[in-house]
Amino acid sequence: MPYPIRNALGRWRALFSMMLGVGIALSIGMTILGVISAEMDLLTGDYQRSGVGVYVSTQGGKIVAQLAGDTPGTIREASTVLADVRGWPEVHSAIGALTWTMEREPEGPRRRGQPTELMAIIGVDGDPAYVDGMLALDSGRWLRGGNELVVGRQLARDKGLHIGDTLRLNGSTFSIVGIGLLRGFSAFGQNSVAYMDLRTLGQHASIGNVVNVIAIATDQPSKVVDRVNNLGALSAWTPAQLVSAAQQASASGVTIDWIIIALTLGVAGLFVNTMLSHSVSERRAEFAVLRAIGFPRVWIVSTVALESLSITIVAGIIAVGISLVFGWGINATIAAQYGLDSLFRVDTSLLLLIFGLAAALGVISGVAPARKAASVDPVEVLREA
Amino acid sequence: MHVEMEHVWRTYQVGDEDVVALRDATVAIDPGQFVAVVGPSGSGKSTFLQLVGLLDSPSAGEVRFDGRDVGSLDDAARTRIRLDSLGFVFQRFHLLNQLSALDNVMLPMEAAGLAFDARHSRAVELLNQVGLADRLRFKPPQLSGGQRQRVAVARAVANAPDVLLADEPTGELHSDDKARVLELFQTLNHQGRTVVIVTHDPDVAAVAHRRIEIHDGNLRG
Repeated sequence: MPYPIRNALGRWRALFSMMLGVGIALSIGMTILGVISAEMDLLTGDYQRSGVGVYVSTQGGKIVAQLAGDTPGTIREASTVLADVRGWPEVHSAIGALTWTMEREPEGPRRRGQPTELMAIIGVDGDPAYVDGMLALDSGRWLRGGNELVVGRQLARDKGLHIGDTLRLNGSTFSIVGIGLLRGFSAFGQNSVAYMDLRTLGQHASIGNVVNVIAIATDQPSKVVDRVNNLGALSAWTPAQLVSAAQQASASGVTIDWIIIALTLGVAGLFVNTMLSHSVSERRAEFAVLRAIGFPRVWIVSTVALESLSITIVAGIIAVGISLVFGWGINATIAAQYGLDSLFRVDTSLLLLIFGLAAALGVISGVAPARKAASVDPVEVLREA
Repeated sequence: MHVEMEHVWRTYQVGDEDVVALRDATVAIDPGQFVAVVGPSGSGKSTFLQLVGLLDSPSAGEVRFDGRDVGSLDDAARTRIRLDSLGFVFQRFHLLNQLSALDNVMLPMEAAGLAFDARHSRAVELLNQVGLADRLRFKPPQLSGGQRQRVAVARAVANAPDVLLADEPTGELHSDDKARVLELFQTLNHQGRTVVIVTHDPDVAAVAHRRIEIHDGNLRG
């Protein structure tokens, strides 16, 4: 084994504190990346997994809010539009959805001054069970009409609701028949709402004949988009367009995250550079002896560069371990608290990217100390020693 | 190897002033000679050794090995000559503390590109010759001063150099160790190797065949 490798292996104890320090710094970046990846999946993955081919809103409506005040708007004469859409040969199924709020009444007499509790409701027209991937039930079943509710998992957790419980909403009693969500409505806060048949909602609230969004299951989205556009007054969105809109909406946040990652990498690089420079200063006599007995400069450069590289590679491995532990903690606590499947996702390509950046950082950070070691003048150093 | 210096000057810049460490030095050392370089502190002895050892370049004049001017070669060429033809022993041993005695001796042979088995067996043989066969795996801090210097001597002759250069090699040793190290130098010289020792010690100078005296950078002998 050549001396530079033996040296790096032999000095692992001396290098370990640097490896640990850089590993902790890198783990911050990796954890942020894991969170970004999970966030993007939360924002966009739903549109891709819902099985919906085209989303329809009223013209000018925004299904994904990019600016404050962006809403999907309301599609008028919804029953007619839905009937038309369901009649198109390219359409397998069409689901209309309307967000509304209903007033929840407490069990027993109401106390004076007790605030009114409002509950977000999504009224659903159509059976999502016919759209592969749209319905995600944790327990129970989907609505079959009548005064039935399916509640989002976060809502169920927050309010302590279970299947079989009843709720008084706008003066009527509703039974909870399922806990889960409809995919593809993440912009509506799908975990924190209750789902109700749209006709039932219409019987208990003055909603009119409107929906906010129509989700269409189809194998021929472009044809459906054309047909929607021909109807006039409506906008059609493919899942890819919604993903792009969601990515634009979160672009500034992601940019800030990447700046933080770049800063942690920069700090880690400076740390390696400073510590190695210090180490080289302390080991000048060693390098002077190596030069005196005939070690070429390139060997000295390799010796220090390899130390630098080994620091960042081992730090990368440490960082992966730490970020996985952080991620597990985030998923077990924060994600669970918000009723989310995950707030940290291992994205192998991103982890490899950080790993590659760390290795590059090791090489760059080691350049100056390696040159410093190679430029040691044996005469001067051995005279001092 | 025939070592020559011809009209060599070495000056250093200290602030605005030029300090002359070696002044118009001309000397020839024949192969197999045992030379002691003596003189008071600061007289230029170490500078002389560094120039002969190609650790430093002359400000003027020529350093020649077998008639070839080597003093003005580039760093890579001088490094190669140091590796192949010169061996160094320092007053403070300058062994690598994280390596065993065996590894320290193997180091120059590794730089010279010798295969592991070959350098391992030669290093064992050399350490055996300097009386440290039972200390192969010991690291320098686990050895006495005399033992360390013997490891340094073994390292210096690992690549079978023509010339062995030593800077106050007994300066940090007790008398018993000093005698043993001197004996080693004599043995190496009897094997045909040129030995140049810079020393203050009259005992060391006494065993040399030739004395070169340096006073204020002026060389005589």
